[in-house]
Amino acid sequence: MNQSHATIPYTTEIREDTGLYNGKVGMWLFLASEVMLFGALFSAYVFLRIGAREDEWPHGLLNIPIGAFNTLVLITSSLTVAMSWTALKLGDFQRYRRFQFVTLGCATAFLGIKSWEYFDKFNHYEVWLKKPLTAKEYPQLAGQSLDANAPIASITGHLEGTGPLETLASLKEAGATSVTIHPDEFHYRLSARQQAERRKEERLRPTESGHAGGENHAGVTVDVSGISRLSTFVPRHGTFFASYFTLTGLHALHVFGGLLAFAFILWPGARMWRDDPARYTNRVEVTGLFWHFVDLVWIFLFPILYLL
Amino acid sequence: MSDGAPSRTLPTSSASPVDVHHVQLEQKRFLTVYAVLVAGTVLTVAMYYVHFEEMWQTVAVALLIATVKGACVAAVFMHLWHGERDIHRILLYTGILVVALFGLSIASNFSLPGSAHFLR
Repeated sequence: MNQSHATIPYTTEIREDTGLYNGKVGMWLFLASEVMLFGALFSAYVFLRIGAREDEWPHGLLNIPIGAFNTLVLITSSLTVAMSWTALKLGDFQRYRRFQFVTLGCATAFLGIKSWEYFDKFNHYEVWLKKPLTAKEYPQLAGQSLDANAPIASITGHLEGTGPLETLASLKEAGATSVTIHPDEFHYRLSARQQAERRKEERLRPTESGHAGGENHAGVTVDVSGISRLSTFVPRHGTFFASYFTLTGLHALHVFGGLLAFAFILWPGARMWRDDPARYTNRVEVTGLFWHFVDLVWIFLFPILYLL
Repeated sequence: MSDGAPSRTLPTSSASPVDVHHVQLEQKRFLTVYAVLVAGTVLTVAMYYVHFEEMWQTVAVALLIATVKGACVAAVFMHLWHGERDIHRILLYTGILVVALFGLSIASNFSLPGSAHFLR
């Protein structure tokens, strides 16, 4: 038995009382606390979602194909983590290393895609107007309301010639007197079903409103003095984005933590494989448990945030 | 960087002897679960475009698919399949607390006048 075993017992040997090595019990206790942490946030989200009025809760603002792709990236990384552990079990360090390179690549890709999604939200605006407009007056606002005669009090879309995270105060400070908004295909207050029905109608009579899906190229110019509020889709926008950034931000921090742990084990920590391969294998297993938990959280986050 | 780590050698100080057949079986299980997870993801996305009559039906189906996927990850990738009693006990207590947390949150919402629009 070497020095490390004398100081840290049960790193590889099984304890009689638990039937496990200590690292595994420790990781499961940590994961139990993580379940409570995410459980509290999930239940808070469910509470807010159930209590929200249907026309106040955003629909269709998150990119589902991108979210689904990110889910596949994370699922793939879970597989490569599991396979890398079995490679170590079989004593094949090189195969383990190849799998872990893929894991690190997937983790980096996940964070990169998430950052891109965040950045997109920092450039996506909602503008609240003091005097509502109608789609009858401005046909380019057709997707902002169900009824052409209904007053449109807020418009969602992209602002022409502005950077990310602008506010009404920053626009006034910059001396802007008017802004041009390129409206989204649909305002988020339209439910998924209403958006799908409108798309079907649009396909049947195209070009009437001048847009064939996605952002509307014909903009609407409004005076800055006629704007009551202006916000990007960031936490201060409202309950949905406060929840979205809290949940996905905390999750992304976990992905980053897992990435660092795997990178440490793969490079500086790899010396242990030479001295104590069983302990090294266990280290990969418990880090893998954490990684699978991170994957599991995303499996629930994706449908509740992107699809509901 | 390999740090001189040997390849294709079985660990020498493993606490339990490596059963190659068992590990290969495990690998097959991992690949099967991966296929289930990919199929579940495709199904979840497809469900979004189906548009059920009531919102609660969409919620129920989405959460059912997510639960099946989550159970697969926990059972196979996280080895809960092997039935380690102490871990099951830790998770049982955690599960009870989480269910209570969700139950209280949802129940409190129903007690507010004019709430729970989402489930109608």
